[in-house]
Amino acid sequence: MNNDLFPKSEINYRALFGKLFSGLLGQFGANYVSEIEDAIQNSFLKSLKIWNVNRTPNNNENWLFIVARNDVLNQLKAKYNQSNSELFESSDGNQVLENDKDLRLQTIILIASLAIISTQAKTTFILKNIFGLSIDEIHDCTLLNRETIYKSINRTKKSILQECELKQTDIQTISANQATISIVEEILYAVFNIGFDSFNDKIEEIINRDLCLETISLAKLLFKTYNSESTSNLLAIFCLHTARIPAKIENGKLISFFYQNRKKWNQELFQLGLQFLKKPKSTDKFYIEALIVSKYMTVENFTENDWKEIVNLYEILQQISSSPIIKLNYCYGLSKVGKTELALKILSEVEKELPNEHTYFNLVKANIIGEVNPIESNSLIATTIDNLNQKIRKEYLLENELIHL
Amino acid sequence: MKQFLLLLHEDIQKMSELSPKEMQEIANAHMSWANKLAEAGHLISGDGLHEKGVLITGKDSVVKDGPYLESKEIIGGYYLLQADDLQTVVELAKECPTHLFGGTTEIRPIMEMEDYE
Repeated sequence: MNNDLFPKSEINYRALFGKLFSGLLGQFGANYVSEIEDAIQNSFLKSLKIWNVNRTPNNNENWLFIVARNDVLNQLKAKYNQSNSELFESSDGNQVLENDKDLRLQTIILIASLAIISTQAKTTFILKNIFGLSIDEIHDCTLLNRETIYKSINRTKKSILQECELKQTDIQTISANQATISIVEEILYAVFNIGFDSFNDKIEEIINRDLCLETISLAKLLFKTYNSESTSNLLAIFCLHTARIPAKIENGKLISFFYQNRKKWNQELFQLGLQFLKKPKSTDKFYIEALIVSKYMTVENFTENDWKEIVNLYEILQQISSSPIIKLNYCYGLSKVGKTELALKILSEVEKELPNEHTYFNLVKANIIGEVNPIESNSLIATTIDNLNQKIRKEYLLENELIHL
Repeated sequence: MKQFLLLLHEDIQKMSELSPKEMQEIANAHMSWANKLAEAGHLISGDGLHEKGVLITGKDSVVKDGPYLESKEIIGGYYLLQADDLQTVVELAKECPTHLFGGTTEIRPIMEMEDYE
């Protein structure tokens, strides 16, 4: 496997957050979400102070777990005047550590199964507590405003409290039905896409690759546990996209799909993606999407017939998903089979479904109208450049998308 | 070689609001900075300090529990360094990761007999 995909790193606090959060949730139950969040933050702060060049624990992860666990116990002692915390202390506190069981998927299943919370709110909560992103980072990658994120996380916390009290949920043994599996898939799909298209101006990379890799490993675990065809197709999408990461940037410049050096694609992941592609019994959103990606990646020189196939696949996809992004991709395909007028008509309808100055909308529209109206096309590109924060993306648009008039 | 105490004043509020990613940055930065100091022979010792402590005042030695500062900044740690002169330590301290997230460093040269002889 290409080593570039898995850079060696020091302890990764962001990735560890989810593991600690789920482990502590498994130990203390779902009633103490806020205490657990604070305890993990405190354990990280303590490690900053105590660990140094000559003094780090043998097992960093265990050390942080124990410190965070003791912090929760101390908070509970202060809150409940000793009585409740003794209950936890009498249980075998090291059990979770010895088993070293990763409860992240179990926790995601718990959140996905909450009845009254939207998938967006669930995803936001999971981005924070399983994938360790701060409110600011979630704001940067989802473009949701900070207040909305904060409120939706708090609503999810309240919902966990209410529903778990009623059902006495045990995270260690919780299992998912098909409806919950679908929501878990939607959440993993959203997180992967956030990682795959990072717009954060503070990090230079356009991909948050460890977020993508963590999503893949959780999807693999979901597939291994429930063996659902849709999860297999979701994995196909993840692997096929991830395989292209090594070719997305060359000499510090963004390389668009059709100009990538295909030899740089990670062949193992590419093949794995094709293996995960499984024809389902009924039409499945992830299957069609994976088919489209595999079509793009297996055909080197696109003819009109290839575009017609892509257009057909997008038509099937629209029967099962109303996403405006799918409609945008459909419009792009239509423009490639000589149906520009129809594409523009659909675009004018899609525009109403998206926020103003939507980056992807502007880029697709600029591309479609490029030949008939280069001035408007350039104006859309210029607006997009103004709205983008990331230098590498701005440079790409300046160099590649503006039409010389 | 002269010795210098480098005090790390940290903004407690800002520290407690760091994201996991920022904490990782600061942890790794401290490790590699301290490593660099050690390799160059400047590092004698260094540790983090508890937020709370004890304050003893007056001839009656009245003992009070901390926190005893009203400031939002506390001394969160120290490094004991050695170098030929203050300017060298100033240059080293400029790169101290404490500055990354709103902290301040303070250099206090250790007094030595020969300074006054």
